[in-house]
Amino acid sequence: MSQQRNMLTGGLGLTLRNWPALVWTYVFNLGLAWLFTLPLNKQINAITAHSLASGRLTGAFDLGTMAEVFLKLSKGPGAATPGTYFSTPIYLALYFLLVPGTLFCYQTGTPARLFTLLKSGLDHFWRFFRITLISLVVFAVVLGGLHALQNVWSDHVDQRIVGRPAFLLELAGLVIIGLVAALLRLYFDLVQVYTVHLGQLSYPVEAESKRRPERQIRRTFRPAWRTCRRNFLRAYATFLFLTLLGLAAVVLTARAAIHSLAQPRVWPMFLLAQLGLFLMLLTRFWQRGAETILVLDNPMPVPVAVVPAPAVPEEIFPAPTDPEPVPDEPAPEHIENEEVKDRSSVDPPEYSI
Amino acid sequence: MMAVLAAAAPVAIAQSIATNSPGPLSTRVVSYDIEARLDTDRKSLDAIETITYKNLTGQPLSSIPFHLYLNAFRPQSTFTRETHFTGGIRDSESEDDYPDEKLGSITISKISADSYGDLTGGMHFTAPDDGNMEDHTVAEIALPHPLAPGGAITFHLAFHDQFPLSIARNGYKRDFIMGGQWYPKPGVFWHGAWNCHQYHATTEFFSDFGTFHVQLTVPNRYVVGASGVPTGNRANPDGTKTLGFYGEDIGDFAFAASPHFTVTDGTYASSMGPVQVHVLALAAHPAAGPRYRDIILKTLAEFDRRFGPYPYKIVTVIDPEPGSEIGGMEYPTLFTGATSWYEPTYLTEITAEHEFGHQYWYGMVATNEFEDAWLDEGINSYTEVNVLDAILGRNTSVLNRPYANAGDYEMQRLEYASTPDFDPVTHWAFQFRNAASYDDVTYGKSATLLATLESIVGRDTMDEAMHTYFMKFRFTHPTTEDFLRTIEQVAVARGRATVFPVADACAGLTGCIADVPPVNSSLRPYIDQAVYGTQVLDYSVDSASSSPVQWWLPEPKDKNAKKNLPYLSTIYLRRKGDFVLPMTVEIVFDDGTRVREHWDGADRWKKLTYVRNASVVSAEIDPDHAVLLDVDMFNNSYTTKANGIPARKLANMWASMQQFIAQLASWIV
Repeated sequence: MSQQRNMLTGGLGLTLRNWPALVWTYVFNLGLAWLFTLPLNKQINAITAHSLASGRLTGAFDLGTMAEVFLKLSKGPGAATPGTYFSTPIYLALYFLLVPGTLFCYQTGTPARLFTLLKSGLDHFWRFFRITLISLVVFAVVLGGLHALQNVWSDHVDQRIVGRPAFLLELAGLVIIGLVAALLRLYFDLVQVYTVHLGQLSYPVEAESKRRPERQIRRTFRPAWRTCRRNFLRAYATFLFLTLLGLAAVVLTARAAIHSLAQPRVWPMFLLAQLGLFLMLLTRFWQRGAETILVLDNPMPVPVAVVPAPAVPEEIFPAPTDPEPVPDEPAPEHIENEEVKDRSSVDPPEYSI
Repeated sequence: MMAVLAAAAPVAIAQSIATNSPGPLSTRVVSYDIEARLDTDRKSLDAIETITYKNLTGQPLSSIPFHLYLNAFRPQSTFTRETHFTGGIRDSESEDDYPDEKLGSITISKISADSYGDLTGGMHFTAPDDGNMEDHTVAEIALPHPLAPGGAITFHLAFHDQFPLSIARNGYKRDFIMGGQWYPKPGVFWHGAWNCHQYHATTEFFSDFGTFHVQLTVPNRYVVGASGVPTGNRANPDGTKTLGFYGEDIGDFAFAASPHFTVTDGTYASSMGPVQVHVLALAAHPAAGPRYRDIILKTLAEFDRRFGPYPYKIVTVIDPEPGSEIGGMEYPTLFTGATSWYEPTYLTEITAEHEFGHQYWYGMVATNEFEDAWLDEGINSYTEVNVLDAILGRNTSVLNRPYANAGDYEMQRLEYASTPDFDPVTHWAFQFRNAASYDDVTYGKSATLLATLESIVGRDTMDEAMHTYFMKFRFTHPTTEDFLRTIEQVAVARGRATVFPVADACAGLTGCIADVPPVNSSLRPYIDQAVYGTQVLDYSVDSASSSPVQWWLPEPKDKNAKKNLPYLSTIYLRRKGDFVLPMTVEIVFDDGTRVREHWDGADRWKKLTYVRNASVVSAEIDPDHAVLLDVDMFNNSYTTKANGIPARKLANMWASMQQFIAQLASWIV
């Protein structure tokens, strides 16, 4: 440990160098959204295309007319269009594959081709699936508790204060929940980065048959926690800054898009909305890049593999970016020596990928 | 303020301290004298009430029913039962428990009457609407001997109120207390019988006109607004103050108390004299006071010009606590608004205008809100749209932004279109299918059918009819037929309708009672369908197309040659609903000519054909957009050239929203 590269610039560099990952993700999201919106577009077109009443949605934007369109849709045959909502789960499934691939490309410099992204995603599928389950549990417990507290706080405020001060006080509670959510997300992001990082390490061939994803994931929790703790300020500040940057981009472009609603053309609104969504996605990938920089600067300590034949564990891998350990840095903690020793006495190494 | 009012006094010298009228405006059936003490900590009130009731019924009365509305806020009541199972127009009470803080009650500990003695033992609860003896919102006092016609009885009551955490229209929220329907009030002897309905989830109120002397004791820090005019303020040694109020020619009395009110006043010089606009807005809503005052000053002017003068000397606007179920409620000379610390639309103005409108349609034209809810809420929604159109613009009276707009008339129409045909507007308020149908039909359909009627008879005729109706029936209790026949009379007089030599259209209809004789005008078919019926009005242009008459010849490529080519244009019209109404159709051709046709609308479809050297561009039913009762505006026209922009706009919004949701959701991965 090591050099402390700038997370923002380093992360941005990684994101831009691996731009196909970002673009593929964006294209999937856009494509799915439009694919599943096409039936709705067709239904709306059937109502409005040949009607003079739709003039109030052409050179103007009359909310009553818009509401009438959706009222008609809700009452018409087959109008509920439940399929319209399917784009989000399908996108999430794809995103589930694209994220590990993206992290893999960020860490290895492998060109971010779609095939590479998806193959790596499939390779890491079960690990990320488990991480997601664990993160959902943690999110539910922590944020659920905070949500309950927020309700209490909100009731407390509501009973005593009204108007803008009440709004700001309740907003403060929500901001705290948001900050905690961001912290949790940062931590699990790091777990994901370390998981992919761990996958870069090569292991004895005989261990291949002993893949145990849950143990590999478990092994990443402590380094993620340690890295998060030791680099808390810059990591958290970077994460929050990029989150706010993404949200600001969406809010500003959405506002500008709304202001173009009354124009008799659609492309300005489309471009503005897409610009905001793209920038929001960019900042998320930027966060991933920044986290990768952080992990590469704080690599997992070299695992010590113990093979059955030689009694003495053999160090197999050098640390990817930290070839010269800092002398006064404490020994790696995440793989407890005792644990390894204990295992070595009964099991072959199981940290292969 | 009174000095200002006096300086602006009109020619006529007002005799009353409460109105600008030199004499009584109503038949004052009841006189109330109430001394009440409000416990703002316990949210309760103790009072002594003296009621003098005049028997103007022309017959002896052996019992008198009283409304005890606060007893509705109990799980056993009809109000709560209906609210729980079919929805309420305010708090839904959909949970399976009933919290203690929502319990409300009114308890008469003693009642006696001069020359009748103690009547407490003769009091018993009744349930005239549904037989629910646990309801307790109506009590009947049996008299030991009948009250003779022309006689009067003076009751003396002691009662205790427990206000609930607000559920509908009254109660408390934080330290704000709304005293609405808070005292025992006799029913109305109307059309030969007592009319004293139970309190229902969707019903409002009905009462006789009278006078009110009210003394209300509250803690010193409280600011109080009430019906009528303030008559005095006395400080008490126990840290309280006693405020006096007097109202006359009103049918109810309400008050609102809060330590957070700020006062904003204005004065309107009406045709009868000055009117004080007295706004009590929460300090947390600093913009509310001026907004309420400004819209009410403009509204007063519109109502004065259109319908007739506002005769009272004051109108008090209450800004209730946010989160309460008290906003947007009318009482005589007092109403509650609804706003927020951030309110970028005109909803503040719409609510204030609507509730002020009830001073006319409920307050003065005191229709039975249990049985003819559309006569107050519906007419009021109709006048609301017209008044706000005049003040804020037709298409911008809800929202006026460069990038988007919304008009109140369209909101009313949408409300109607969402539930157009479950109930006629004339259903009794508690007999609607559910609260949503009551809401959509009573407000939305009524406003829309009257706007359509206005387009049929003309704006001027309708304005005159509304003015006539108000001036004739103010301070009385008119019925649906009184209103409709007044419109017919005016329309016939102005030549906008003809008289049909047919039998009374009212004959055979339950409860069809009116002081106005039948007119049987040409408006009746519309009235029967729109008011008494549930027919749905939906006309459409199914198709519009043009083909060369000599279709077998090749079409010339030269534009000029095309112009000289005769085309056969065919338009198919269709009546999709069961509502029959004559319709105007406009056909536009590509040489710029416009042709208007009349269709009686009776058949299910109609075909229009034209042979001319031009092809059809568009065909539109109701080209003046006057028949707002048509549930589908989109199929009223057909253009031969498609316009894909609206669909792309809405689809783009939808897709972008889906993308945004997907990206947010990806935070869990």
